[in-house]
Amino acid sequence: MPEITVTVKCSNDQKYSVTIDTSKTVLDFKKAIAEKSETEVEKQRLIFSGRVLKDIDTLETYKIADGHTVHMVRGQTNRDTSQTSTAQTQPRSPTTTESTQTTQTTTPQPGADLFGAGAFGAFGGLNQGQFGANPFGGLQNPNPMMEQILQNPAVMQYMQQMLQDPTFVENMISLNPQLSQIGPQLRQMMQDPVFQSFMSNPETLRNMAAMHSMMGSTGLPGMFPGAQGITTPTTNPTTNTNPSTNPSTNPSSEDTTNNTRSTTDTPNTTPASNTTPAPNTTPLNNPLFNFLNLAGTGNNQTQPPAMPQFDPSLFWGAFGGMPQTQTSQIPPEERYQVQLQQLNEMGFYDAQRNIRALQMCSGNVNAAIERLLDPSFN
Amino acid sequence: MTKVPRNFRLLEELEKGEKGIGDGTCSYGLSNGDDIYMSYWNGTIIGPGHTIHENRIYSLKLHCDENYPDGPPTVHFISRINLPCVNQQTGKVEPSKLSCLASWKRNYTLETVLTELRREMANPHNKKLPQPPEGSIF
Repeated sequence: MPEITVTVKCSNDQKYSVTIDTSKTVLDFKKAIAEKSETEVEKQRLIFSGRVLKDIDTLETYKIADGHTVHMVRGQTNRDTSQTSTAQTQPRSPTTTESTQTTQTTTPQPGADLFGAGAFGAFGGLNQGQFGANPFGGLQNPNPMMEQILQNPAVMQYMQQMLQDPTFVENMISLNPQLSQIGPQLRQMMQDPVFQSFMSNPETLRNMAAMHSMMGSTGLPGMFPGAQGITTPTTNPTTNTNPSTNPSTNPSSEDTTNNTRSTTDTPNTTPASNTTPAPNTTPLNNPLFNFLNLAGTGNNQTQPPAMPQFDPSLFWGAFGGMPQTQTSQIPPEERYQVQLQQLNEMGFYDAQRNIRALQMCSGNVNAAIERLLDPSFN
Repeated sequence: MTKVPRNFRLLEELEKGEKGIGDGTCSYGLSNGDDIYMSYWNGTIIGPGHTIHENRIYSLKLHCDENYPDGPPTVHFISRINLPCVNQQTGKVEPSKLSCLASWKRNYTLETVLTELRREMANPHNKKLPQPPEGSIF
Protein backbone atom coordinates (compact mmCIF):
# COMPACT_ATOMS: atom_id res chain seq x y z
CA MET A 1 0.00 0.00 0.00
CA PRO A 2 1.38 3.40 -0.91
CA GLU A 3 2.63 5.79 1.68
CA ILE A 4 1.31 9.30 1.33
CA THR A 5 2.15 12.59 2.92
CA VAL A 6 -0.82 14.66 3.92
CA THR A 7 -0.90 18.17 5.27
CA VAL A 8 -3.06 18.63 8.33
CA LYS A 9 -4.25 22.16 8.81
CA CYS A 10 -5.66 23.32 12.12
CA SER A 11 -8.16 26.04 12.67
CA ASN A 12 -5.44 28.08 14.38
CA ASP A 13 -3.45 28.05 11.16
CA GLN A 14 -0.91 25.52 12.33
CA LYS A 15 0.17 22.91 9.85
CA TYR A 16 1.52 19.45 10.28
CA SER A 17 2.82 17.06 7.72
CA VAL A 18 1.88 13.45 8.34
CA THR A 19 3.11 10.48 6.35
CA ILE A 20 0.86 7.48 6.48
CA ASP A 21 -0.15 4.38 4.61
CA THR A 22 -3.49 4.71 2.82
CA SER A 23 -4.69 1.35 4.12
CA LYS A 24 -4.59 2.73 7.66
CA THR A 25 -7.78 3.83 9.32
CA VAL A 26 -8.73 7.34 10.22
CA LEU A 27 -8.17 6.43 13.86
CA ASP A 28 -4.57 5.49 13.10
CA PHE A 29 -4.24 8.73 11.23
CA LYS A 30 -5.54 10.66 14.21
CA LYS A 31 -3.05 8.92 16.46
CA ALA A 32 -0.28 9.99 14.12
CA ILE A 33 -1.57 13.55 14.25
CA ALA A 34 -1.83 13.39 18.02
CA GLU A 35 1.91 12.67 18.23
CA LYS A 36 2.70 15.80 16.31
CA SER A 37 0.04 18.20 17.42
CA GLU A 38 -0.57 17.29 21.05
CA THR A 39 -4.26 17.22 20.35
CA GLU A 40 -5.84 14.12 21.80
CA VAL A 41 -7.42 11.72 19.38
CA GLU A 42 -10.82 12.29 20.99
CA LYS A 43 -10.68 15.99 20.33
CA GLN A 44 -9.73 15.75 16.71
CA ARG A 45 -12.31 16.21 14.07
CA LEU A 46 -11.00 15.76 10.58
CA ILE A 47 -12.54 17.13 7.45
CA PHE A 48 -11.55 16.25 3.95
CA SER A 49 -13.28 17.16 0.73
CA GLY A 50 -16.45 18.19 2.43
CA ARG A 51 -16.70 15.17 4.66
CA VAL A 52 -16.10 14.47 8.29
CA LEU A 53 -13.81 11.48 8.51
CA LYS A 54 -15.06 8.54 10.53
CA ASP A 55 -12.62 6.67 12.73
CA ILE A 56 -13.34 3.22 11.39
CA ASP A 57 -12.88 4.03 7.72
CA THR A 58 -9.55 3.76 5.98
CA LEU A 59 -7.94 6.67 4.26
CA GLU A 60 -8.50 4.94 0.94
CA THR A 61 -12.24 5.22 1.35
CA TYR A 62 -11.95 8.95 1.23
CA LYS A 63 -9.49 8.84 -1.65
CA ILE A 64 -7.00 10.88 0.26
CA ALA A 65 -3.86 11.07 -1.82
CA ASP A 66 -0.37 12.46 -1.60
CA GLY A 67 -0.26 16.21 -1.21
CA HIS A 68 -3.84 16.62 -0.11
CA THR A 69 -4.88 18.72 2.83
CA VAL A 70 -7.01 17.52 5.71
CA HIS A 71 -8.50 20.08 8.03
CA MET A 72 -8.58 19.49 11.73
CA VAL A 73 -10.95 21.12 14.12
CA ARG A 74 -10.23 20.89 17.80
CA GLY A 75 -12.87 20.72 20.42
CA GLN A 76 -15.73 18.71 21.78
CA THR A 77 -16.15 15.11 20.98
CA ASN A 78 -15.96 13.91 17.47
CA ARG A 79 -19.12 13.68 15.54
CA ASP A 80 -19.61 9.95 15.90
CA THR A 81 -19.99 10.15 19.65
CA SER A 82 -21.97 13.33 19.63
CA GLN A 83 -24.52 11.61 17.50
CA THR A 84 -25.38 9.36 20.38
CA SER A 85 -26.12 12.37 22.50
CA THR A 86 -29.04 13.22 20.27
CA ALA A 87 -30.91 10.31 21.66
CA GLN A 88 -31.88 12.27 24.69
CA THR A 89 -34.72 10.00 25.71
CA GLN A 90 -32.41 7.04 26.14
CA PRO A 91 -31.34 6.09 29.62
CA ARG A 92 -28.10 7.82 30.30
CA SER A 93 -26.01 4.75 30.58
CA PRO A 94 -23.14 5.74 28.32
CA THR A 95 -21.46 7.90 30.90
CA THR A 96 -18.43 8.35 28.76
CA THR A 97 -20.46 10.24 26.24
CA GLU A 98 -21.84 12.40 28.97
CA SER A 99 -18.49 13.34 30.37
CA THR A 100 -17.00 14.15 27.03
CA GLN A 101 -19.99 16.27 26.31
CA THR A 102 -19.52 18.35 29.38
CA THR A 103 -15.83 18.83 28.87
CA GLN A 104 -16.33 20.36 25.53
CA THR A 105 -13.97 23.16 24.82
CA THR A 106 -14.50 26.09 22.63
CA THR A 107 -12.26 26.76 19.73
CA PRO A 108 -12.80 30.13 18.21
CA GLN A 109 -11.79 30.44 14.62
CA PRO A 110 -9.62 33.48 14.67
CA GLY A 111 -9.60 35.63 11.67
CA ALA A 112 -11.52 33.14 9.63
CA ASP A 113 -13.20 35.79 7.61
CA LEU A 114 -10.27 38.15 7.58
CA PHE A 115 -8.37 35.95 5.26
CA GLY A 116 -11.18 35.63 2.87
CA ALA A 117 -10.34 38.91 1.31
CA GLY A 118 -6.99 37.63 0.14
CA ALA A 119 -3.61 39.17 0.16
CA PHE A 120 -4.43 42.29 -1.73
CA GLY A 121 -7.46 42.93 0.30
CA ALA A 122 -5.33 42.62 3.36
CA PHE A 123 -2.84 45.12 2.05
CA GLY A 124 -5.56 47.51 1.15
CA GLY A 125 -7.31 46.93 4.39
CA LEU A 126 -4.27 47.99 6.28
CA ASN A 127 -4.68 51.50 5.09
CA GLN A 128 -8.01 51.92 6.73
CA GLY A 129 -8.22 48.96 9.00
CA GLN A 130 -5.19 49.43 11.11
CA PHE A 131 -6.06 52.89 12.18
CA GLY A 132 -9.58 53.22 11.07
CA ALA A 133 -11.09 51.21 13.85
CA ASN A 134 -9.06 52.75 16.58
CA PRO A 135 -6.61 55.44 15.66
CA PHE A 136 -4.44 54.65 18.61
CA GLY A 137 -4.78 50.93 18.55
CA GLY A 138 -1.44 50.55 16.90
CA LEU A 139 0.28 52.05 19.86
CA GLN A 140 -1.05 49.61 22.35
CA ASN A 141 -1.28 46.34 20.56
CA PRO A 142 1.63 44.68 18.92
CA ASN A 143 0.04 45.36 15.58
CA PRO A 144 -2.18 42.32 15.14
CA MET A 145 -3.14 43.41 11.69
CA MET A 146 0.43 43.49 10.51
CA GLU A 147 1.02 40.15 12.09
CA GLN A 148 -1.83 38.60 10.25
CA ILE A 149 -0.64 40.04 7.03
CA LEU A 150 2.82 38.75 7.60
CA GLN A 151 1.47 35.32 8.31
CA ASN A 152 -0.71 35.26 5.29
CA PRO A 153 0.93 32.79 2.95
CA ALA A 154 -0.35 34.69 -0.03
CA VAL A 155 1.49 37.80 1.07
CA MET A 156 4.62 35.83 1.69
CA GLN A 157 4.42 34.39 -1.75
CA TYR A 158 3.69 37.77 -3.22
CA MET A 159 6.70 39.30 -1.57
CA GLN A 160 8.94 36.58 -2.78
CA GLN A 161 7.61 36.74 -6.29
CA MET A 162 8.09 40.46 -6.41
CA LEU A 163 11.62 40.29 -5.22
CA GLN A 164 12.43 37.54 -7.63
CA ASP A 165 11.10 39.48 -10.55
CA PRO A 166 14.00 41.56 -11.83
CA THR A 167 11.71 43.93 -13.68
CA PHE A 168 9.86 44.73 -10.50
CA VAL A 169 13.08 45.44 -8.68
CA GLU A 170 14.22 47.60 -11.58
CA ASN A 171 10.96 49.47 -11.57
CA MET A 172 11.01 50.03 -7.88
CA ILE A 173 14.54 51.33 -8.01
CA SER A 174 13.87 53.63 -10.91
CA LEU A 175 10.80 55.06 -9.23
CA ASN A 176 12.73 56.07 -6.19
CA PRO A 177 15.60 58.41 -6.60
CA GLN A 178 16.86 57.36 -3.22
CA LEU A 179 16.90 53.75 -4.11
CA SER A 180 18.45 54.34 -7.48
CA GLN A 181 21.31 56.11 -5.81
CA ILE A 182 22.16 53.02 -3.93
CA GLY A 183 22.18 51.29 -7.24
CA PRO A 184 23.95 48.06 -7.81
CA GLN A 185 24.30 47.03 -4.19
CA LEU A 186 20.59 47.16 -3.65
CA ARG A 187 19.93 45.13 -6.71
CA GLN A 188 22.43 42.61 -5.58
CA MET A 189 20.87 42.45 -2.19
CA MET A 190 17.39 42.04 -3.55
CA GLN A 191 18.46 39.15 -5.67
CA ASP A 192 20.25 37.40 -2.91
CA PRO A 193 18.22 34.27 -2.14
CA VAL A 194 19.10 34.51 1.53
CA PHE A 195 17.69 37.98 1.63
CA GLN A 196 14.61 36.87 -0.22
CA SER A 197 13.95 34.12 2.20
CA PHE A 198 14.38 36.70 4.92
CA MET A 199 11.74 38.87 3.44
CA SER A 200 9.27 36.09 2.92
CA ASN A 201 9.67 34.64 6.37
CA PRO A 202 7.08 36.20 8.65
CA GLU A 203 9.00 35.06 11.70
CA THR A 204 12.09 36.98 10.71
CA LEU A 205 10.13 40.04 9.77
CA ARG A 206 8.36 40.04 13.06
CA ASN A 207 11.51 39.52 15.02
CA MET A 208 13.23 42.28 13.15
CA ALA A 209 10.33 44.58 13.65
CA ALA A 210 10.39 43.87 17.35
CA MET A 211 14.11 44.30 17.56
CA HIS A 212 13.94 47.41 15.51
CA SER A 213 11.46 48.97 17.85
CA MET A 214 13.39 47.84 20.89
CA MET A 215 16.61 49.37 19.76
CA GLY A 216 14.99 52.45 18.48
CA SER A 217 16.47 53.60 15.25
CA THR A 218 20.06 52.74 15.68
CA GLY A 219 19.66 51.06 12.40
CA LEU A 220 21.05 47.66 13.23
CA PRO A 221 23.66 47.73 10.58
CA GLY A 222 24.44 44.34 9.25
CA MET A 223 21.08 42.84 10.03
CA PHE A 224 20.81 41.75 6.49
CA PRO A 225 23.54 39.87 4.81
CA GLY A 226 25.06 42.24 2.35
CA ALA A 227 23.33 45.20 3.83
CA GLN A 228 26.51 46.78 5.10
CA GLY A 229 27.15 48.15 1.68
CA ILE A 230 23.93 50.06 1.84
CA THR A 231 25.02 52.42 4.56
CA THR A 232 26.21 54.93 2.06
CA PRO A 233 24.97 58.43 2.62
CA THR A 234 21.99 59.37 0.56
CA THR A 235 19.95 62.49 0.48
CA ASN A 236 16.69 62.33 2.25
CA PRO A 237 14.10 64.74 0.96
CA THR A 238 12.61 65.98 4.18
CA THR A 239 10.13 68.71 3.74
CA ASN A 240 10.28 71.65 6.01
CA THR A 241 7.40 73.96 6.51
CA ASN A 242 8.65 75.99 9.42
CA PRO A 243 7.65 79.50 8.51
CA SER A 244 10.17 80.97 10.91
CA THR A 245 13.72 81.53 9.91
CA ASN A 246 15.31 79.96 12.90
CA PRO A 247 16.92 76.70 12.01
CA SER A 248 14.69 74.01 13.30
CA THR A 249 16.42 71.27 15.12
CA ASN A 250 16.55 68.19 13.08
CA PRO A 251 14.38 65.59 14.74
CA SER A 252 16.96 62.92 14.21
CA SER A 253 19.82 64.79 15.76
CA GLU A 254 19.72 62.51 18.75
CA ASP A 255 20.67 59.64 16.59
CA THR A 256 23.99 58.41 17.81
CA THR A 257 24.96 56.76 14.62
CA ASN A 258 25.10 59.85 12.51
CA ASN A 259 27.34 62.35 14.16
CA THR A 260 28.75 63.67 10.97
CA ARG A 261 25.47 64.59 9.44
CA SER A 262 25.02 68.21 8.54
CA THR A 263 21.59 69.69 8.41
CA THR A 264 20.58 72.58 6.30
CA ASP A 265 17.14 73.95 6.78
CA THR A 266 15.43 76.01 4.20
CA PRO A 267 12.95 78.51 5.55
CA ASN A 268 9.69 78.43 3.70
CA THR A 269 6.93 80.92 3.57
CA THR A 270 4.63 79.75 0.85
CA PRO A 271 2.99 76.39 0.99
CA ALA A 272 3.53 75.88 -2.71
CA SER A 273 7.27 75.79 -2.36
CA ASN A 274 7.12 73.48 0.58
CA THR A 275 8.61 70.56 -1.12
CA THR A 276 12.09 71.96 -1.39
CA PRO A 277 14.17 69.11 -0.21
CA ALA A 278 16.43 69.99 2.62
CA PRO A 279 19.75 68.36 1.96
CA ASN A 280 19.94 65.93 4.72
CA THR A 281 22.71 63.46 4.47
CA THR A 282 21.56 60.66 6.62
CA PRO A 283 22.83 57.22 6.12
CA LEU A 284 19.93 55.28 4.81
CA ASN A 285 20.56 52.23 6.84
CA ASN A 286 18.39 49.88 5.00
CA PRO A 287 15.51 50.65 2.74
CA LEU A 288 13.63 47.69 3.99
CA PHE A 289 13.35 49.13 7.41
CA ASN A 290 11.12 51.65 5.83
CA PHE A 291 8.72 48.87 5.22
CA LEU A 292 9.31 47.34 8.58
CA ASN A 293 8.98 50.64 10.25
CA LEU A 294 5.30 50.27 9.86
CA ALA A 295 5.37 47.20 11.99
CA GLY A 296 8.06 48.42 14.30
CA THR A 297 6.77 51.80 15.23
CA GLY A 298 3.32 50.52 15.84
CA ASN A 299 4.14 49.01 19.19
CA ASN A 300 6.73 51.49 20.22
CA GLN A 301 5.71 54.67 21.87
CA THR A 302 9.09 55.57 23.14
CA GLN A 303 10.90 55.53 19.90
CA PRO A 304 13.35 58.38 19.73
CA PRO A 305 12.26 61.14 17.41
CA ALA A 306 14.63 59.96 14.76
CA MET A 307 11.80 58.41 12.89
CA PRO A 308 11.70 60.69 9.90
CA GLN A 309 15.02 59.26 8.96
CA PHE A 310 13.26 56.14 7.79
CA ASP A 311 10.73 57.14 5.32
CA PRO A 312 8.05 54.47 5.15
CA SER A 313 6.62 56.04 2.08
CA LEU A 314 9.72 55.05 0.25
CA PHE A 315 8.65 51.51 0.22
CA TRP A 316 4.96 52.03 0.14
CA GLY A 317 5.47 54.46 -2.61
CA ALA A 318 7.42 51.87 -4.48
CA PHE A 319 4.71 49.30 -4.03
CA GLY A 320 2.04 51.60 -5.16
CA GLY A 321 4.20 53.01 -7.88
CA MET A 322 3.50 56.53 -6.73
CA PRO A 323 5.64 59.03 -8.49
CA GLN A 324 7.56 61.04 -5.96
CA THR A 325 8.87 63.67 -8.28
CA GLN A 326 7.50 66.46 -10.40
CA THR A 327 4.39 66.88 -8.35
CA SER A 328 5.29 70.06 -6.57
CA GLN A 329 3.55 72.26 -9.11
CA ILE A 330 0.15 71.20 -7.90
CA PRO A 331 -0.73 72.66 -4.51
CA PRO A 332 -0.62 70.03 -1.80
CA GLU A 333 -4.22 70.64 -0.78
CA GLU A 334 -5.28 69.58 -4.21
CA ARG A 335 -2.77 66.85 -4.67
CA TYR A 336 -3.64 65.14 -1.42
CA GLN A 337 -7.31 65.90 -1.44
CA VAL A 338 -8.40 62.30 -1.02
CA GLN A 339 -5.84 61.58 1.65
CA LEU A 340 -6.73 64.73 3.55
CA GLN A 341 -10.32 63.73 3.56
CA GLN A 342 -9.39 60.32 4.86
CA LEU A 343 -7.33 61.83 7.63
CA ASN A 344 -10.17 64.13 8.49
CA GLU A 345 -12.52 61.23 8.77
CA MET A 346 -10.11 59.53 11.10
CA GLY A 347 -10.12 62.50 13.40
CA PHE A 348 -7.03 64.41 12.35
CA TYR A 349 -8.44 67.88 11.96
CA ASP A 350 -5.34 70.04 11.75
CA ALA A 351 -5.15 70.58 8.00
CA GLN A 352 -1.72 72.18 8.02
CA ARG A 353 -0.29 69.37 10.03
CA ASN A 354 -1.96 66.83 7.84
CA ILE A 355 -0.56 68.35 4.70
CA ARG A 356 2.88 68.45 6.17
CA ALA A 357 2.71 64.83 7.20
CA LEU A 358 1.39 63.79 3.82
CA GLN A 359 4.09 65.68 2.05
CA MET A 360 6.74 64.00 4.10
CA CYS A 361 5.24 60.68 3.22
CA SER A 362 4.50 61.40 -0.40
CA GLY A 363 0.81 61.09 0.16
CA ASN A 364 0.86 57.78 1.95
CA VAL A 365 -1.94 58.02 4.47
CA ASN A 366 -0.67 55.20 6.58
CA ALA A 367 2.77 56.65 6.97
CA ALA A 368 1.32 60.09 7.49
CA ILE A 369 -0.75 58.87 10.39
CA GLU A 370 2.32 57.46 11.96
CA ARG A 371 3.95 60.85 11.73
CA LEU A 372 0.91 62.56 13.11
CA LEU A 373 0.90 60.24 16.08
CA ASP A 374 4.58 60.71 16.69
CA PRO A 375 4.92 63.06 19.66
CA SER A 376 7.97 64.67 18.13
CA PHE A 377 6.11 65.73 15.03
CA ASN A 378 4.63 69.18 15.16
CA MET B 1 -13.83 36.43 -22.27
CA THR B 2 -13.68 32.77 -22.99
CA LYS B 3 -16.05 30.50 -21.16
CA VAL B 4 -14.54 27.76 -19.08
CA PRO B 5 -16.42 24.55 -19.88
CA ARG B 6 -18.29 22.90 -17.06
CA ASN B 7 -15.91 20.02 -16.57
CA PHE B 8 -12.77 22.09 -16.48
CA ARG B 9 -14.38 24.38 -14.06
CA LEU B 10 -15.45 21.56 -11.77
CA LEU B 11 -12.03 19.95 -12.02
CA GLU B 12 -10.54 23.20 -10.88
CA GLU B 13 -12.89 23.34 -7.96
CA LEU B 14 -12.18 19.72 -7.09
CA GLU B 15 -8.48 20.35 -6.98
CA LYS B 16 -8.95 23.38 -4.81
CA GLY B 17 -11.20 21.43 -2.48
CA GLU B 18 -8.69 18.60 -2.09
CA LYS B 19 -5.79 20.90 -1.43
CA GLY B 20 -7.89 22.61 1.18
CA ILE B 21 -9.05 26.17 1.02
CA GLY B 22 -8.36 28.76 3.64
CA ASP B 23 -8.57 27.56 7.19
CA GLY B 24 -11.00 24.77 6.50
CA THR B 25 -14.09 26.57 7.68
CA CYS B 26 -15.66 25.44 4.45
CA SER B 27 -14.65 22.31 2.63
CA TYR B 28 -16.01 20.38 -0.29
CA GLY B 29 -15.28 17.43 -2.52
CA LEU B 30 -16.90 14.86 -4.78
CA SER B 31 -19.24 12.43 -3.02
CA ASN B 32 -18.09 9.71 -5.28
CA GLY B 33 -14.63 9.92 -6.76
CA ASP B 34 -15.71 7.85 -9.75
CA ASP B 35 -18.40 10.31 -10.73
CA ILE B 36 -16.94 11.42 -14.04
CA TYR B 37 -19.59 14.07 -14.51
CA MET B 38 -18.71 15.56 -11.16
CA SER B 39 -22.33 16.18 -10.31
CA TYR B 40 -22.62 15.15 -6.67
CA TRP B 41 -20.58 16.93 -4.07
CA ASN B 42 -20.22 16.94 -0.33
CA GLY B 43 -19.57 20.02 1.65
CA THR B 44 -18.90 20.90 5.26
CA ILE B 45 -19.18 24.17 7.06
CA ILE B 46 -17.65 24.71 10.46
CA GLY B 47 -19.97 26.86 12.48
CA PRO B 48 -18.66 30.38 12.93
CA GLY B 49 -17.31 31.29 16.35
CA HIS B 50 -19.32 33.27 18.89
CA THR B 51 -22.57 31.96 17.50
CA ILE B 52 -24.79 29.10 18.46
CA HIS B 53 -23.14 27.21 15.62
CA GLU B 54 -19.69 27.40 17.18
CA ASN B 55 -17.81 24.11 17.02
CA ARG B 56 -20.47 22.39 15.02
CA ILE B 57 -19.70 20.80 11.73
CA TYR B 58 -22.51 20.93 9.23
CA SER B 59 -22.60 18.50 6.35
CA LEU B 60 -24.20 19.40 3.07
CA LYS B 61 -24.69 17.88 -0.31
CA LEU B 62 -24.49 19.89 -3.45
CA HIS B 63 -25.61 18.94 -6.91
CA CYS B 64 -24.18 20.52 -10.03
CA ASP B 65 -26.41 19.74 -12.97
CA GLU B 66 -25.40 20.07 -16.60
CA ASN B 67 -26.15 23.79 -16.52
CA TYR B 68 -23.53 24.46 -13.92
CA PRO B 69 -21.79 26.94 -13.75
CA ASP B 70 -24.30 28.86 -15.86
CA GLY B 71 -26.93 27.90 -13.35
CA PRO B 72 -26.56 27.52 -9.58
CA PRO B 73 -26.07 24.18 -7.86
CA THR B 74 -28.83 22.77 -5.70
CA VAL B 75 -27.81 22.66 -2.08
CA HIS B 76 -29.15 20.52 0.76
CA PHE B 77 -28.14 20.43 4.36
CA ILE B 78 -27.61 16.91 5.66
CA SER B 79 -27.10 18.07 9.22
CA ARG B 80 -30.18 19.61 10.72
CA ILE B 81 -29.98 23.35 10.96
CA ASN B 82 -32.41 26.10 11.75
CA LEU B 83 -31.83 28.86 9.23
CA PRO B 84 -34.41 30.97 7.41
CA CYS B 85 -33.05 29.96 4.01
CA VAL B 86 -33.20 26.24 4.79
CA ASN B 87 -36.36 24.27 4.27
CA GLN B 88 -37.05 22.67 7.64
CA GLN B 89 -38.66 19.58 6.12
CA THR B 90 -36.10 18.69 3.49
CA GLY B 91 -32.96 20.60 4.39
CA LYS B 92 -32.94 22.21 0.98
CA VAL B 93 -31.46 25.66 0.76
CA GLU B 94 -34.17 27.74 -0.87
CA PRO B 95 -32.55 29.46 -3.84
CA SER B 96 -34.87 32.42 -3.48
CA LYS B 97 -33.68 33.05 0.06
CA LEU B 98 -29.95 32.92 -0.48
CA SER B 99 -28.76 35.84 -2.54
CA CYS B 100 -25.87 34.08 -4.24
CA LEU B 101 -28.23 31.39 -5.52
CA ALA B 102 -31.00 33.82 -6.37
CA SER B 103 -28.76 36.03 -8.44
CA TRP B 104 -26.27 33.41 -9.56
CA LYS B 105 -23.28 34.52 -11.56
CA ARG B 106 -21.08 32.33 -13.64
CA ASN B 107 -17.97 33.08 -11.65
CA TYR B 108 -19.57 31.90 -8.42
CA THR B 109 -18.31 28.58 -7.14
CA LEU B 110 -19.34 25.98 -4.63
CA GLU B 111 -17.03 27.77 -2.27
CA THR B 112 -19.04 30.96 -2.78
CA VAL B 113 -22.19 29.15 -1.76
CA LEU B 114 -20.66 27.55 1.31
CA THR B 115 -19.06 30.77 2.47
CA GLU B 116 -22.29 32.64 2.03
CA LEU B 117 -24.16 30.02 4.02
CA ARG B 118 -21.59 30.34 6.74
CA ARG B 119 -22.01 34.09 6.72
CA GLU B 120 -25.73 33.52 6.98
CA MET B 121 -25.11 31.51 10.17
CA ALA B 122 -23.08 34.35 11.62
CA ASN B 123 -25.69 36.91 10.63
CA PRO B 124 -26.84 38.72 13.79
CA HIS B 125 -30.43 37.71 13.06
CA ASN B 126 -29.55 34.05 12.83
CA LYS B 127 -26.65 33.48 15.14
CA LYS B 128 -28.80 32.93 18.19
CA LEU B 129 -31.58 30.89 16.59
CA PRO B 130 -32.27 27.77 18.61
CA GLN B 131 -30.70 24.82 16.89
CA PRO B 132 -31.58 21.16 16.82
CA PRO B 133 -29.15 18.90 18.70
CA GLU B 134 -25.87 18.45 16.94
CA GLY B 135 -25.60 15.41 14.78
CA SER B 136 -29.29 15.16 13.91
CA ILE B 137 -29.94 14.92 10.22
CA PHE B 138 -32.71 15.84 7.80
